[in-house]
Amino acid sequence: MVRDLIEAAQRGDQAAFVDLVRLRGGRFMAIAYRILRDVDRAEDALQDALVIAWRDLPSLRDPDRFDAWVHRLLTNVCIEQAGRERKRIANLYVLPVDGPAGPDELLNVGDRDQLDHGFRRLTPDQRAILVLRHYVGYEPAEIADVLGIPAGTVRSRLHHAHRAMRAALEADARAVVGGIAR
Amino acid sequence: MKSRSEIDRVMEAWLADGPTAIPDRVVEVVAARIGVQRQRRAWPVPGRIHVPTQFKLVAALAAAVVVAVAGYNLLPKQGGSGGQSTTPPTTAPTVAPTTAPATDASPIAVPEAELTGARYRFAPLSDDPSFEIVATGPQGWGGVPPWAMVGPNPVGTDHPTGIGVAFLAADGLYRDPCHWDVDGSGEVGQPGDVAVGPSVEDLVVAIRANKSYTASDATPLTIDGYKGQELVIQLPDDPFTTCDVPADDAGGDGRAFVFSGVNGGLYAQGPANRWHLFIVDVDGTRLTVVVPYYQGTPQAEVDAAENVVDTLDINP
Repeated sequence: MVRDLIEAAQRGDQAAFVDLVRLRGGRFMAIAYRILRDVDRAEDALQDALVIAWRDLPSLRDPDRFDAWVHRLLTNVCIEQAGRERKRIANLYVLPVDGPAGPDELLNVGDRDQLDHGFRRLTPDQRAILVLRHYVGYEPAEIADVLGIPAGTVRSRLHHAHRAMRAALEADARAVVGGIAR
Repeated sequence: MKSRSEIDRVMEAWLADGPTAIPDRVVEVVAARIGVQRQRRAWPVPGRIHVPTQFKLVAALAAAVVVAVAGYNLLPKQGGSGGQSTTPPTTAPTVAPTTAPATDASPIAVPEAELTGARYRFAPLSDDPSFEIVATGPQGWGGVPPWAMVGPNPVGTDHPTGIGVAFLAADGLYRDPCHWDVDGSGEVGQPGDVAVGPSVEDLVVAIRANKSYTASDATPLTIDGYKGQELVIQLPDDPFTTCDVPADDAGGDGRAFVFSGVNGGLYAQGPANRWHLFIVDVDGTRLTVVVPYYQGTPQAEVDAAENVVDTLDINP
């Protein structure tokens, strides 16, 4: 069914594309939000990416690659938008985190705050790679394919992103210990 | 200190929070925006195509004496039940030049719009086109200014039934069209890695020597008084998904570039693409006319493309 919709949309069927957006859009929205950490900007990025997808859909040779193809378009739009945002706000404030905060024994409030802070300090590329790895579940080689960069570059950026996030969490831990000591 | 696996779990738990549905308002905005956003045809748009904003026109077009290229039914449909054949014709029929009636209508610059059967001006894909080409744009085809036209929407040049006509100043070839990114930059327009001399014969020999596709014999050709050769090449039945990807290609699709060129060259339009090539020497500049099509392209469209070549008028 999805393939039928993709093929119809490739032939210019707008209704088919909208149906496709309804079917697949939740996953795309989730990715955009997790890279940008802001619902409004995620919605903007998603709209832009989907319009680009519509425009270029006739050039997609393999409909089975639709999701990965849109992931690439969307990730690139998000990276571009996050880059603009970094320049504009220069980490002056912490963006609100929208959506339900599900209970998870792995995460306390301090962890979440530190992860938020740590994540916002990452470059847009690193953010995108973390999301594709830990949310979408792509392997580094798949991320390389999606982003069109060498797998070695993905591993390197992933390593630096992990290190930054680990440092953020450990800074939190040190702060707690320090507080007790004082 | 948290272990690596613990960090991973924490990251995954943290990323699990957040919206997972697309709001209706986003769908509505997208629906409205695509209503006014035209889809791009899958004609090659190499990353660095330079579309001249000031296309130099020849002041006065000579009376259109065109050479009708008759009888070259060079595009036989391969029969049989084994699917698409990858064997091109072994010979190209002889071209018999004839004179076609002149037209009084002034040609217009090819638009990025549906064509109406009128006479249109084109410029070959080149940094510095030294001549213009006037051709009849078949009714219902689409223009790709300034250098090409494609079959009717929405198929264009797409597999398995598309077709087009492109004009380019091909100046080189890639040994392996799938892996054209020789310098690893992803930049389209890299020099081909096959040395090609300046003559029509040089290019024909290089094409026929390439092992990445099969080529027919070449036969003499004359278009609008300019001599050259024609042949057909059959590209592999491959979706090109593992081919090199242009650095600025948002879609991330692989491309198989046959021709290199300062403005990006030309790549296969789809699996099992078949290219009818008309290569002529225009006062020392090599013009290559490419008609990409497929085994499944309707004969009427192939005939229309042949008519385009029949009615070419080259104005140095």
